[in-house]
Amino acid sequence: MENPATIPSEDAASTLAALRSTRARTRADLRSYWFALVVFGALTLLSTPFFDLWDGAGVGLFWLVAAPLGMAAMARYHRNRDDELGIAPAPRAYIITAGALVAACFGLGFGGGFSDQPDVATFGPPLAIAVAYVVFAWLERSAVLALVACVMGGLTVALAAADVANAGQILAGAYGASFLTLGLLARRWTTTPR
Amino acid sequence: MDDDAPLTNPVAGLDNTIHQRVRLGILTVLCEAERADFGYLRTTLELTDGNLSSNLATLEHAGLVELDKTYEGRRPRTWVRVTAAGRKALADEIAVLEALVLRVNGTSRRTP
Repeated sequence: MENPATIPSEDAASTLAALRSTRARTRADLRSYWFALVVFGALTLLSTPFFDLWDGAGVGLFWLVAAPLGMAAMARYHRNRDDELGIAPAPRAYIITAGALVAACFGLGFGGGFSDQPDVATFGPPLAIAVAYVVFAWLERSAVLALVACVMGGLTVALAAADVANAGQILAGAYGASFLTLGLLARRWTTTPR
Repeated sequence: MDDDAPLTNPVAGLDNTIHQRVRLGILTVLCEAERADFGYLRTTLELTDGNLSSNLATLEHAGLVELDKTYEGRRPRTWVRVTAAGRKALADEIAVLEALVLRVNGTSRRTP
């Protein structure tokens, strides 16, 4: 083994550069948020007709069925991808964020509805989604995902302030279309198993 | 450089076990993930089977990584994960390397 005491500084600098490159490549290989965006973007678009059912409760019931299905699809996708690629991301931060997101969405959606606070029920869940996607963007080191999540969060706040009719459906359409589009684009940037 | 700076040379902090590019590379990959398999490490770090095996054995012996040998059907597969000690060793090593580069760069800036 080489003696550390003889390591020249150029060697240290080039070693650090090589490690940065290795880390960047590993992170790129681990990046796979496109699937979640496509699944939940599509489900969000599918949810828009349910806003008109049962006095607004229809969309909550839609997500009671759709959310577990979407998560099951994601778990299956990631298990297969990890096995094929040979590397698996640390899941804890993702699970905690997703759990908090589900709790916030159902809590704000149903809680706002039951307590007769329609603004909380309408704008709370999309705002929680925007915040959660900023966290996912940080976990994935994706500036474009963070940007889209911030734009959606800003749109939510703007619609809440403007008191627009059918704001829930407008937001569902905007979130669904933007996440689905970004997901399909991001798929092209994602590493496929070698 | 600050004249009051401690005289300790950063080189003294380098860890002989991991101060080697392949081992640093292995730990760098593993610190980004929950686990990686032998094939991924070999391809990503552009190593031979023998080279990777011997470096993994050294890291495992030092308690810096854990190996999990499994079978998928009849095909053997080795998953590798970094331990807490491995994470700390990599962070310490990078800090020492950065300090070394900073120190030498500071010296060279003063020298015409």
